[in-house]
Amino acid sequence: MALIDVIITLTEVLFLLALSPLLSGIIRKIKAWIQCRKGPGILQPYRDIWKLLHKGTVMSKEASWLFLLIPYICLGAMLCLAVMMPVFYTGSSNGIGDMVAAIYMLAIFRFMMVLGGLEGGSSFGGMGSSREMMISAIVEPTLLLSIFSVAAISGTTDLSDISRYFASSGASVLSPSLFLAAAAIFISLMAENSRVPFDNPATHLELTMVHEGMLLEYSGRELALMETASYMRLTIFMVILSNIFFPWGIAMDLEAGALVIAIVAIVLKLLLISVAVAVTESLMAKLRLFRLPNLLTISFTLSLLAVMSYYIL
Amino acid sequence: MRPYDIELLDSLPFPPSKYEERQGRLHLMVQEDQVRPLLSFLIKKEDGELSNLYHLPSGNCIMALVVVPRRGVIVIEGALEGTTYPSLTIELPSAHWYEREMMEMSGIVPLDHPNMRPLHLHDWPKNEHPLSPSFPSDREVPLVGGTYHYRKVEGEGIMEVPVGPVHAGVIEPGHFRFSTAGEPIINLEVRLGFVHRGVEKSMEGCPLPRALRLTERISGDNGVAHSMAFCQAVEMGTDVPERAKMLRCIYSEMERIYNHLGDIGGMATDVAFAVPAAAAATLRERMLRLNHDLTGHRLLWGTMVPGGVAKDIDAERSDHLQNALVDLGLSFDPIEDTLFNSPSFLDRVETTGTLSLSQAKDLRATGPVARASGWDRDARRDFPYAAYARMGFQVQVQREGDVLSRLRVKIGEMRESMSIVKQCLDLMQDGELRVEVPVPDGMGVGLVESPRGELVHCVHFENGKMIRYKVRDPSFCNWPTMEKAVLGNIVPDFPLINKSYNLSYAGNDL
Amino acid sequence: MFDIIERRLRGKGVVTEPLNVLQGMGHAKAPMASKKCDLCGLCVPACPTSAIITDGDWQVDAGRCLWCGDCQSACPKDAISFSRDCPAVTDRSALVLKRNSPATGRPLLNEEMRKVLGSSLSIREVDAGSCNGCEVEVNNLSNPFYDLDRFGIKIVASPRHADMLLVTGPVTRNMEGALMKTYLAAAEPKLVVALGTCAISGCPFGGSYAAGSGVSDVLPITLFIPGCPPSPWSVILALLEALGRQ
Repeated sequence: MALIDVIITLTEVLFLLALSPLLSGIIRKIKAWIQCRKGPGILQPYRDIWKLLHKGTVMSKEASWLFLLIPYICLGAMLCLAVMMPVFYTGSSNGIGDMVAAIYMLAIFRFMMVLGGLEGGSSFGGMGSSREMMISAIVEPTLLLSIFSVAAISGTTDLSDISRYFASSGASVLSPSLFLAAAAIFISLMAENSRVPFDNPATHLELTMVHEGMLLEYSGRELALMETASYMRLTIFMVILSNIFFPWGIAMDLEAGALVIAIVAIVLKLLLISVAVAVTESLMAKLRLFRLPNLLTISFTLSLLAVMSYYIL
Repeated sequence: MRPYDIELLDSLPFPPSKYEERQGRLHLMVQEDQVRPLLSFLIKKEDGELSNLYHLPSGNCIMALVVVPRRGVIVIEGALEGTTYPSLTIELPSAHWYEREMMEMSGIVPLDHPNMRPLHLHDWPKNEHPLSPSFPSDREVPLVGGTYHYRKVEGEGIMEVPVGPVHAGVIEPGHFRFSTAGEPIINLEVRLGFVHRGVEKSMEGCPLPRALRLTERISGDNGVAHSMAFCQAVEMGTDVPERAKMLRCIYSEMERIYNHLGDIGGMATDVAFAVPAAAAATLRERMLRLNHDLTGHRLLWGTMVPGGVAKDIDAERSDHLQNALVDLGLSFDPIEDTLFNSPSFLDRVETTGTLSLSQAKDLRATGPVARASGWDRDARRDFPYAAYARMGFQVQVQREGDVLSRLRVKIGEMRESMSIVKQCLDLMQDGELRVEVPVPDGMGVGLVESPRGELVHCVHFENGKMIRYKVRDPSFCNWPTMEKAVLGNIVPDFPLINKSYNLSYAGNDL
Repeated sequence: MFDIIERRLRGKGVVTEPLNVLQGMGHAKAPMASKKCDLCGLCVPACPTSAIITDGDWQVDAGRCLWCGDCQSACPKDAISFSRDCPAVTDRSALVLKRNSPATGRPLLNEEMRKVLGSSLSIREVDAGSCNGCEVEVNNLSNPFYDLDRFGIKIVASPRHADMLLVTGPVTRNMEGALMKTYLAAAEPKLVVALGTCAISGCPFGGSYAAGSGVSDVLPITLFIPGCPPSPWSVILALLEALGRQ
């Protein structure tokens, strides 16, 4: 790996880290607009994080050192994942961006977050953790299968190579299995990032919480890290959807012009997905907890179909 | 108040030692051991409802107020010999909370009561009773330790989830103890009393103008209903002017409209259906502003006064009100449309939190909760007050008793309220707003259908002084029914069920 | 399903009131006697919470006032009107309003608080025995008209996330412990705000066996927001002024 690759990769990571609160801000703004409200400024998530970094920490008596360590592990896992992602240049993470590893980075994040929920010692953290595990039991295989289907099409499990394969083959690669897998990924995106109809990121009802429930006991700097990690996770899912499935515009050679186009392309794609997320969230009510497996099973079936249709068609 | 049906007296299982009529009510004076059979008869045979039960220190008797639709209001005065009497709860589950309340507040022990735990007072010494005449209202009572024993559910995989008293949302404080098997709720125990402010004690000896302000603040969002019940109680049957009657109807229906709008939006919020929730919140805010334009107070406080009303609606404002209501009806349609055309929303509310008719009757639910379970009761029609006797309106009844039914009842009632306001505006004639009320003496009763259900205030005067004031908020009747409605539902559905009930903690705790 | 978007596109648009409209609606207006007042003292017994004193000069304690207008109707000279601007204050004694005395200044938090919390404030609401009138209005803060969110001020679900405890109610005997626990669960820097008459002075319930006389008996208070209940716009103005944002 050349030095220039390292520089590009680091830039990509910083780009994602810097952009992810903005995307959450944009989603909130769009939702507010649909509700006829003005809504907070799109920079509000940055202000919230800045404030939290300047606040003290309070811990419950039950929590141990692990409680304080978890936010760093979670954010670390997301940063690692960001390293693996092809964001503007397909060559930047050659050989280190294996999709199976990426899926398990997400698993590490989730596992640590669930532990953090339990560490706090409150009953809501426990409930949130147990619900998160229930959801993840179906989301994880869905993710694996849908990425398998693109891996099967492109013949590699390296994320950069998949991205390059799709980017270079143009429209000829568009197949039913790609769209099925993309739909499955979108449903997983909503589920993994605790959006409506799976969870409500804006809820005040402690008894209904999934993701928020696990964060109830965190405060100050640790909360800032957890929030940042969650913003990152949403952005990375969007990057998967845009650059693994539809990587058009991504730079395949290190040229200034190509990189500029790539940056513009990824920003546009992220914005488009943000709009889709916000609109989807506004159209429906949150599902009953025990109905979640139904919807998740649909996404699993979609990804299964994606793999099968590749081999049959 | 409509006078009681004279035939009722003849049908009683045994003749009372003494009876008399006061302001249309039938008072039966009996011995302590006769209270239970008499109440049983009135409730089980005559289809009556226990609407209030409390202890009156002067004369040492327990007072039971029973309302029998189409037959009238009956007050049973059971003279006590000491501080005990045979408990009613064993036969009449609806007496459960009243007796617990009486036990801690007045020190009257219902013998053989199945559940002798305190209700409103926490960490309270055993021998102090706030409503006994010897207890000074400002006495500081130290917190004594001691654990409150919750009902225990044991078994493999049963988990206890304590919630509250401080909740994550902007709601009042209360403690909920769930026993769950995974997500399904096996048992729920509600422990309230956190907002107990000693209202009943503060009312004793309180001058009427000050008492009026206190009643507005018993449960703020039902301020009109509470202050109207207070006015009715101290008016003791004095006839208020026609215009005041109409205005009383208008103000209480305006209160119902903004409350129900809040509940409808709240149910949407609780299932994360943000768009109709925001639209309902917008309409509610418009109603609150309308309230402010009409009366100078967003929650309509300060509109009632003994003998009439304090605020008039002039012709210009009346037009404004008419237009605003038409506008409200039009703006509400799309919200209703969105809610009832959304499969995801309907799936959340259907079959959730079902209260059966028999449960509702046993525990004596009231208001929208009872009507959603198929119990056709409404004090505005059954015991008409103010100008309701002349109003045409349909009592909204549903059958299923789930969240959807309660939602439908509330939507229907809101539309009926709009029509009642319109009828009042059409019928209203110029005239006096209030009359002088004679100095009250004896017992007075206020019976009002608040947005949450039947609300009863009972007041006793002696030598011009208020010696006992008893408030029974509809929430007091409905809380125990919620413990039943949540059974078998899953924990994340509880907030929705709670919202569909929308009970008052402040009104319950007093 | 998509009719939601369709309606939004056809509809009237954002209903949120701009800040200058809220400023136009102004602070709570407290009762004040005009020049016509001859200190006859009839309003004193009429006040249900004894908020009025006529010794020397006419003065009213806005922290005890119920905004009921009983003084107004008791006045034979029609001298009392709800005309006195009564903003939130950081000092309890500033709520005692005297005739002919200068208006109270705007509340302002100390510089460190403003630096940290100025652009992002998380509120935890604690009902310590209110009648739920204040809760009605606090809930209204989030409706599209007021949209508290747009100022970066949000109501959060956990005391651990909170910078500000917004306390209502006189602090009942049964809530004192829970209120203390909530306070201790919040991270520094934090502040406590007393919202509404009962939180400020306990009136009209305070002093009974079951209710205290306001939050200041239990916790240090940084900001008093008068009103019974305070209107949403006056709460927003109070918060923005305290944060130094207008």
